[in-house]
Amino acid sequence: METLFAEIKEIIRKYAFDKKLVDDAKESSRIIADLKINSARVVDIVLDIEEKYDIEIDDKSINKIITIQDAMNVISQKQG
Amino acid sequence: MTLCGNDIMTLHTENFRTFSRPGASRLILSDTEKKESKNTAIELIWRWTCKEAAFKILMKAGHQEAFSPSQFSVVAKIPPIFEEEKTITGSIFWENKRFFFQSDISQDYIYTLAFNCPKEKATKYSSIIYNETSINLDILYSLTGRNYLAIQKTSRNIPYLSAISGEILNYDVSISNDEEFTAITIIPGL
Repeated sequence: METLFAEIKEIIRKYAFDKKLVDDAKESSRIIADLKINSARVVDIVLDIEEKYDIEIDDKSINKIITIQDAMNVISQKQG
Repeated sequence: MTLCGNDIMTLHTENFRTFSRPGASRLILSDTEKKESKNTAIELIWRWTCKEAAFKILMKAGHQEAFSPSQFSVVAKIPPIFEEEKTITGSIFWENKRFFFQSDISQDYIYTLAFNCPKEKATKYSSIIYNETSINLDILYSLTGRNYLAIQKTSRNIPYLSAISGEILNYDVSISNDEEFTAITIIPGL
């Protein structure tokens, strides 16, 4: 799980204005509210996750992704 | 009680890159919109501003989940032709709720302001769009006629207006930033 956490942080970091916020992020960090990611960049983050893990995230699942941990959960579930 | 939500998105490279990506429309459009959309980046950006504006109203009404754009459907009064339109009006639907919007298109951005009632029935409001990322006392004075105010946010990221003394004021507030632009709408006296 530590690897997955680091990989998601790396994806999010690409879209962060304040990279340090992402470097210091925890699993519980909220992607928009805590890491100050522009909400439109969540589209990029979801598409990057889909490409990296070769999964498709259902459009209706996006509202479950609030924190980094939520993103990790969605990936784990999709990978079965 | 009138509630507002606004959203501004610049028409610069980064947003066009995001909204041109394969898969973006799948994440953003509702099933109905998928049938009628031309899937251009500018259309997706416009629909996104409408949906995010409506989502901000939902949040103020206690909605707890994260933004899920495909759950919202945007219906313009007249289907927009983006090369020509400067203003688009219409409705945004989410479950059994309806919101009313006006989008303004400039060379630099698309700005949408939505209300939970028709605009003509909305409480008188003040809005400003300006070319800076900071919010200063002069801007809040121009919107409210009051000095020494600040905008703060709740733990759920909902903005509110307070006096420097800490007193929370009875205004509905919406803020949006994208790149160098900031948009603020304030409705007094909830």
